Amino acid sequence: MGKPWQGTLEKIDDFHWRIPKDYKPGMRVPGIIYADEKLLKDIRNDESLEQVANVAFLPGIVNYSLGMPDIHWGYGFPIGGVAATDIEEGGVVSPGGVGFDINCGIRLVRTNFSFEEIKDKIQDLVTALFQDVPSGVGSKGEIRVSAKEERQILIKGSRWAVENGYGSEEDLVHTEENGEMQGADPDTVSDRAFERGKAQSGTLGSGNHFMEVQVIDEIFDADVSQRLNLFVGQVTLMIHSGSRGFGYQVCDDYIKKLMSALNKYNINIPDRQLVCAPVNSPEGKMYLSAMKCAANYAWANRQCLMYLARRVFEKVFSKSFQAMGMNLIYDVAHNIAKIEKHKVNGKEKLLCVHRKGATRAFGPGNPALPAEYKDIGQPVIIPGDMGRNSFLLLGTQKAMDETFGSTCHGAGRIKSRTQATKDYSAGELIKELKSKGIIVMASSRGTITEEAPGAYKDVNDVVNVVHEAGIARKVCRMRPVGVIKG
Amino acid sequence: MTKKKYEFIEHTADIGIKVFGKDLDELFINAATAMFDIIVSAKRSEASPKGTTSPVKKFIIDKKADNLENLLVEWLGELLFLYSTKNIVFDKFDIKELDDNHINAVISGWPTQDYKIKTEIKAVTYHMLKVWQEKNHWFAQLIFDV
Repeated sequence: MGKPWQGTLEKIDDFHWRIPKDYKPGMRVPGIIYADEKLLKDIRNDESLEQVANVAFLPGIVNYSLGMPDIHWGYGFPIGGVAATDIEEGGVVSPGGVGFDINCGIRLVRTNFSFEEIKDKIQDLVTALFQDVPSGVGSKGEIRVSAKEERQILIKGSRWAVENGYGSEEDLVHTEENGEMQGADPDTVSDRAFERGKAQSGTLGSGNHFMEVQVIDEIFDADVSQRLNLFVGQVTLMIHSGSRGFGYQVCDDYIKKLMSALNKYNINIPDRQLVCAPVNSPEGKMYLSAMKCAANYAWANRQCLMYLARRVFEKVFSKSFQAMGMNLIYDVAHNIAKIEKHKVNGKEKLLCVHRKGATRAFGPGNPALPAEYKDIGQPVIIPGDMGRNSFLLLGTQKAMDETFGSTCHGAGRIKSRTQATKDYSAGELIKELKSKGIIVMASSRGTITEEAPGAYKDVNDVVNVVHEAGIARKVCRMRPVGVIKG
Repeated sequence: MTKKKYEFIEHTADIGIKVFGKDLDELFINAATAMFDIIVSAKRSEASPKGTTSPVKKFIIDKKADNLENLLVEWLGELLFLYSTKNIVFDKFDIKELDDNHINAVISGWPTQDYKIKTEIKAVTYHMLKVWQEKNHWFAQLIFDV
């Protein structure tokens, strides 16, 4: 690791820090970081704070360039970054502010099982999940679709999956955007993206993507937990995946396309990976449409993965998934750009909100929420590393006021993959995790070392900051018992 | 001892490399070699000792860009695209023409099934991208999103 970041960071209070607007000429707004002293030590060790300052250059950006407590060094945008631009004021959309894995996201499924009931079957369950859910680099799925149908996936997202028997209407209601972002035109997607996306639907992928069998080990809000039918000792399932090769290619295509539009719109940015175009320009509109196609692809993918997982549970426990109470609590995107209304200086504005490694966290009463969540706020799902915890949170009014309805998305890396590979051995990690009651199966041993718990911040510290700062609140915490990795 | 083709540079979330070459051709070839070294975990001979499959047909890459740095991204991006859609790990890069704005090369390799695949590279990024010359040697620095 290089020397700590030397830029200016002012303490506002225990959980808010500011990079002043005059830190770098060209910044249009200040940067605000959500962190405590402990997390800040790690955050300062990479270039992520400089990236928060760079994002503040984006034309039309309002209020602040935001960094969540799980922030780490990305390429262009930091991972854990939020930025909103005012569309009427020439605000831009940046493909780098969404990332290559468009709509990488996470879903949480409940079950009726208590861990005590099924603890002897966890090994069978994990083995069956590993066998039946296609994972690994470039994995190809069992759910094969024709080119014509692929276009339907891009337009309809999760709805395509449900119409084809891979889930229920209730699943759609419990997915951000109902898993079907409107305005996705497949004609804005290149043939190359179609080619890369072919045959990868219904696959988990590799890297930090996973499927986890978990157990709720702590409840923070008893009333909400009861409402959601969640209890201590209950088995849950978490799925983390994205738009696979399809999304990577969409992002790649549009970064190149928008690169040539920088001069046209007279845009100055400090890092080429921040290329952007006005939301209302032809280039901006085309990117957003292609991004929506990729987002829908990802939602269909997670819906198919959940279908495959439910089928495995049905096989292992000889019961229907309905009888096992395997309802989707919620599905959230954490790499996406959204057109949303928010108050800026007391006035309602139409903004393009970029969430790059950040989660939407709408507070109670928001019209985007399904009826049964309207009074409590949007469920927010925060995965941690495979050795520690994951969380279910709720969005808050404070998130609406401060962060354009956004919060953190995970633990955040502190060690590079190369460093993690040097520091850990797959065999020892598997043994160590087993001693903690966690079964891990992965397509590649390399993934296990790269994803070692020690390569991540403690998600408990990250969630503590968003909870204390009020930009999400804790409902319950899970611990993993079975992990499938790519 | 053979000369070092590339080395890793630290980046928290992704993988960065610094590439070396005595000339531009070698720089581009070494960058491609580095990328496939990241993707596969073992040499073909170790992963598939019996050599059950035969080398796959050749592909021609012909790409243009407005500068050398963007050309390097185009080159690696095209290799990555061919790898992920044709399922070929490339190990031979015969560069026919290369200048600041244009590359033409004939490439060949082996089916992916002959290898143990380690890492999914999502894309070649422009972040920290640099190509430069020092004392008759060429250098490049780039970050892969993994």
